[in-house]
Amino acid sequence: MIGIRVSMRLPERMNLDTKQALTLVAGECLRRMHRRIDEGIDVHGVEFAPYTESYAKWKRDHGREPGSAGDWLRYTGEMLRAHGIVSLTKRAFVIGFTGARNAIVAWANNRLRPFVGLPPEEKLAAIKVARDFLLSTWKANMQRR
Amino acid sequence: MSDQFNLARLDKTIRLLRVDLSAAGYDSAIQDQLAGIEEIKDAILAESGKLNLPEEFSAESESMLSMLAQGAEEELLTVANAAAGAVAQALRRAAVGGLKLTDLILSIAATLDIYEGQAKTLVTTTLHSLHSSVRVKHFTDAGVEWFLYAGPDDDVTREWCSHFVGTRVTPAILEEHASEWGREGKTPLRPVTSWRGGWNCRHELIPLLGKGGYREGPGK
Repeated sequence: MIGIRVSMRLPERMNLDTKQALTLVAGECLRRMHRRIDEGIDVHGVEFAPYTESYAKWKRDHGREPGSAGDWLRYTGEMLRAHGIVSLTKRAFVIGFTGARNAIVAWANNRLRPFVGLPPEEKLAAIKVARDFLLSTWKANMQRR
Repeated sequence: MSDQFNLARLDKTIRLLRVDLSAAGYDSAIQDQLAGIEEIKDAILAESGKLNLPEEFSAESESMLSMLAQGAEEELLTVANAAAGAVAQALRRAAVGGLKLTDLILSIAATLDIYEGQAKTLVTTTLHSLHSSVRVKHFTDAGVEWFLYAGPDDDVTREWCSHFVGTRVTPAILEEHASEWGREGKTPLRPVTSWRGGWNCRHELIPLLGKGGYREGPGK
């Protein structure tokens, strides 16, 4: 399977729905991955290998702007649309691709331009953002009581 | 036997082709499409339990699915009729131009390939639109309010999409503008979270925590 798995344990005293919390963390991971893809940066922080001249020409001939924001790894957009949560439990989630065809296309793309995954610091940052968001939600809930 | 058509044989052939198209190929494509949607529906309902989604979501998704199925069926019928029409047109051209039978068969095959491609696109788009809705609903149920309208902004981007690309939106904002900038075609493509700009839309909705530092859409 091609994808990333993130696990997280929240303090029980916060009395938060862990699946809800993990959904939010997954959302933040997705946002970070897509932003990086749009910027043309791979999972190691290196610029994507440029498209071959012939492929870039073919894309241009079909109205695309190769290498522009939002163009990387997209032609029909089907593969990146299929990118999302494929598994979720109380402790962990997996972000992957729905549909075997999309998973295969993603695997092939990932060989050329590694885009699946988050560098450790990004993963921690995603968890921190989600934790802060949850903390503020929890505080707001406490104040309402 | 002559390898050229005459007008007398043409009408008969058209009638036969119309019958053949609906009986052999395209009706079964419609049935396959409906069976595929049924299968996906079962998978989504099973998945909704695993994802701890509220029960009302299952009911809602069922009604959404039946709407999708109905829309897809109508569209496929349109595709099948258009295919029949195009074949008839090819036959008429052949009769007038004295095209050889072998060339005519190749021409019809090419025409049908195009429509087969359209039918496949329809199936793929329908299923992906369902995934999009499930994803958005899943995140909104978890408390996400804003989504980034992500994807390209190039020469083939629909005007409607170019108003939203790179901005943060809510499903309500998208619905509010659903009929603007040339989006509303012959099919009421709702909900917008399913179809975004329309058939084969290349854009997607990425969940944001808070406002994510993006400006609010539409942006142009």
